[in-house]
Amino acid sequence: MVLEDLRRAVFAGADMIIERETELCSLDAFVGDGDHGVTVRKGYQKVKSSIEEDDPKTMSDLMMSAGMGLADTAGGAIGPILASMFLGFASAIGGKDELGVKDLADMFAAGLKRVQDLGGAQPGDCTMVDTLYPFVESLKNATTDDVKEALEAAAEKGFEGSEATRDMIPKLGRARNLAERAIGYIDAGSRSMYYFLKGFADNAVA
Amino acid sequence: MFIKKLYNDLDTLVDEAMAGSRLIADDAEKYSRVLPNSRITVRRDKYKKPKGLVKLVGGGGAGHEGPPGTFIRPGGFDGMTTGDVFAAPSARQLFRMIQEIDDGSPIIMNVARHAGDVLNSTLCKQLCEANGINNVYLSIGGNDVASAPKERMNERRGSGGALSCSTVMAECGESVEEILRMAEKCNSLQRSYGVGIRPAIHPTSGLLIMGDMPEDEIEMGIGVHGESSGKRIKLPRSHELAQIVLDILLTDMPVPKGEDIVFNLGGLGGMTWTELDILYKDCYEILTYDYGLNIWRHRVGNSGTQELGGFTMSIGWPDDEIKKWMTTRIPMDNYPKD
Amino acid sequence: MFIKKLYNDLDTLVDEAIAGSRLIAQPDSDKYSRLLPNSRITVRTDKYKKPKGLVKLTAGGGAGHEGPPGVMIRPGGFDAATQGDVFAAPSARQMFRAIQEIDDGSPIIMNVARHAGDVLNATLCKQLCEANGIDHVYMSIGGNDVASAPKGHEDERRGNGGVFNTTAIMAECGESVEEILRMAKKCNDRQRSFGVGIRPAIHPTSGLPIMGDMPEDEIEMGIGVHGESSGKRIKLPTSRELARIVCNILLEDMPIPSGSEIAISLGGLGGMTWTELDILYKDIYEYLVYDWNYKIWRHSVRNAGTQELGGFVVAIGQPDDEIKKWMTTPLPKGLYPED
Repeated sequence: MVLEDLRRAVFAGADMIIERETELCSLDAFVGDGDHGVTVRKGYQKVKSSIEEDDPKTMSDLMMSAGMGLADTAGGAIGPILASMFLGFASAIGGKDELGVKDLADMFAAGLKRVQDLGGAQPGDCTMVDTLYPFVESLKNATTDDVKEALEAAAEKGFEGSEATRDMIPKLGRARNLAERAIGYIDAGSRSMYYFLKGFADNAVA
Repeated sequence: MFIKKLYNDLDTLVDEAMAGSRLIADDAEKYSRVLPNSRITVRRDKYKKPKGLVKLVGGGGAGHEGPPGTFIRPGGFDGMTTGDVFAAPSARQLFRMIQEIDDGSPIIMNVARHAGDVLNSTLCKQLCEANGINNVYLSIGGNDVASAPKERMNERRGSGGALSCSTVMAECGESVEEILRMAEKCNSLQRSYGVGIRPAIHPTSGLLIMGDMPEDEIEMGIGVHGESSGKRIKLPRSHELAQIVLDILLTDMPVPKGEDIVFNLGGLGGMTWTELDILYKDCYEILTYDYGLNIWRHRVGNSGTQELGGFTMSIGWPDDEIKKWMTTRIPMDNYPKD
Repeated sequence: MFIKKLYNDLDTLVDEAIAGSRLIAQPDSDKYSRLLPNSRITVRTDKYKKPKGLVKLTAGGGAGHEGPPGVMIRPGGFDAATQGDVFAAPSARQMFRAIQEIDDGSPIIMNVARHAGDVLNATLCKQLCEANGIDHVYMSIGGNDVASAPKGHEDERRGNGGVFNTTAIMAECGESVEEILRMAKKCNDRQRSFGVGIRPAIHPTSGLPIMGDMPEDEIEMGIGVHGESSGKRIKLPTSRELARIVCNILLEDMPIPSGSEIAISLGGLGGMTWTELDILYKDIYEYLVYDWNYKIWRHSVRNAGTQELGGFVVAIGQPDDEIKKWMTTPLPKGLYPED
């Protein structure tokens, strides 16, 4: 994929989240304070407006612009963590003007690392990492050179990861205080992460 | 009655608070001392005002405690005494203080106009005279527009102020007549007004001060002990309340456009600084842009009535003579250099 | 929700409070500092900018902790400060903008009180800086609230209050970033703090009570400066008893030999009365001086921090000679214009 593909894919991922604000809020209503949908909607609106304003000319700058936009959102941990993820994307694809499956695997792996570094979450902690981690693993192990095919397969793994948070005991954030009582609820952060990856995967190739 | 305040013993509350306040204020021990078994503070010998200069004393109730500071020092008062919570010190106590500092020079007792303070000061003056101290003068001040109408200005209670020249004039060797004349002038050129928003707990009775306020109302024209005015309004926005209070003050004392004013905003202890910051901004804008006045001096603080959420606002309109004294440096040649 | 506080508009509350606080601190606020347009970022005016080569210092934190007027961004103070919403960290983007504004190639230290949002946004800000070629940004994270993490987990303790900090004066004196960071860590390691909540306050934008569910005769031990609950409640003791309880908690965590010099700070959280603070300070003083035989080297008592919350934070520090030296060093002459 090239610059315009990346821009389209990021925008599609952002839109998928923005459209699902209410659903994401209701997921968060039991374990959190019910505003996850609002927080990520605001964050991804910033992603779009920042890219529209900066009109970046390289793929790395595009991810940088998204990260800077997210870094403008105050309050809560999600905004900064997602911002850091995009900075990780940007640094991994510096100097590139076309991305293949391996480049995408490297890019998402760098984002995953930033998310884990800043947020401190491991797979199984009932967070967005439970979506992003299997997504990255799937991309890394992809046997195809077809970007769309690889991304869609990875998104499917991400979905399974998000579904699995139903059975997890939260280890981080406010949900941690609920412990076992959170079992049976999908982590809202894992689901919003899935929507971004799904929108991205479905639109990576025109 | 259970009182949700930190204390040890209601009987020693005022004395313990005084002791703590002196430990907190860095300069307290250097400049001043407390007379044994009393609530009377006087200057240390080393920093005593020279003989011949007019001495200044003050007194008032406890419970108004604020941030640490030492008022009894060169450039400040010569003696000060505290009563019980929200109660004037006794005449006997006032008299003991005057005996302590009397060196034959004139002594001015500065009194905020509250019944108990005026009564005890007047009695103190009689005690002095009965004991041959004939150089004691009373300076009674009060300018709270909520406490008496304009026609009865000299009945207004003390609750705040913006202008003051006494301490500097005394250090400069001005005569008692001049100091009293200027104190009177300062008082006549300033106005104050209080508003209560959230209640406080009386520190010794445990009763609520302003306790029966409806949740969405505030009280206009309260005194610094939470004295009720009976006049309540719905909580307005900060800029609306600023407008209302400034209009009250400036209707009582109209100040022409372009004049210099002194503006004081005193939170009563339980105002948040978030509120005071916003309220001051609103006052500044109304005074500067709507009234066309120039804020020559300003002060914003927060203490006075325990944790009461409320404030007193004062406007002073200094003339050249007041400004001259308010900008005169206090001569320190009379005192040892540190 | 009805909020019994004086304000105009919840959306502009923080910005109006900043504007008011700057008007109150006039003329010093405009003399030494300026607010960047459309921001909550304060930096020094050009005239009082710290000379190139000296380490620059930034700070940031939530609003709602407003206290008496003062100007921290000035010679002898910090170089930039940013504010977030009420009790919320400023965004990383805002911190980054502050750093861009003051960056002259010299090292920059971001001073961070350990609260999740502050650490997160500061860390992200550092990443933004690096991604933009500013690679001389350092973080100094402080926290010493013994109620927030047990002994052995000192580096997880939240920021709550403190008694000494040598960062600002060392930077003015031209000390290296390594030295300043080393001393900041030492200062933090040699102090402990603990908070107590007695009477509730109203959150200025949500209108909800902070510490709202307290039983009438109980107080809460180990609260944070945003009123964070510890869940540990006791019946209201006397001032003298509470002074002992809190000092013992601090001194058990950081034992100080009898006869030592200590620094003590008592910070009312806004709604303590000065009557209470006066008495409590006396009780703390008497306990530490007569029972523990300490010498009070420095003390400070203030009242602001958590709106009109009736509560306080006590901090005790044990300065060593190096800390004392820096704490008594005056601002070097000749760096800034004489007035």
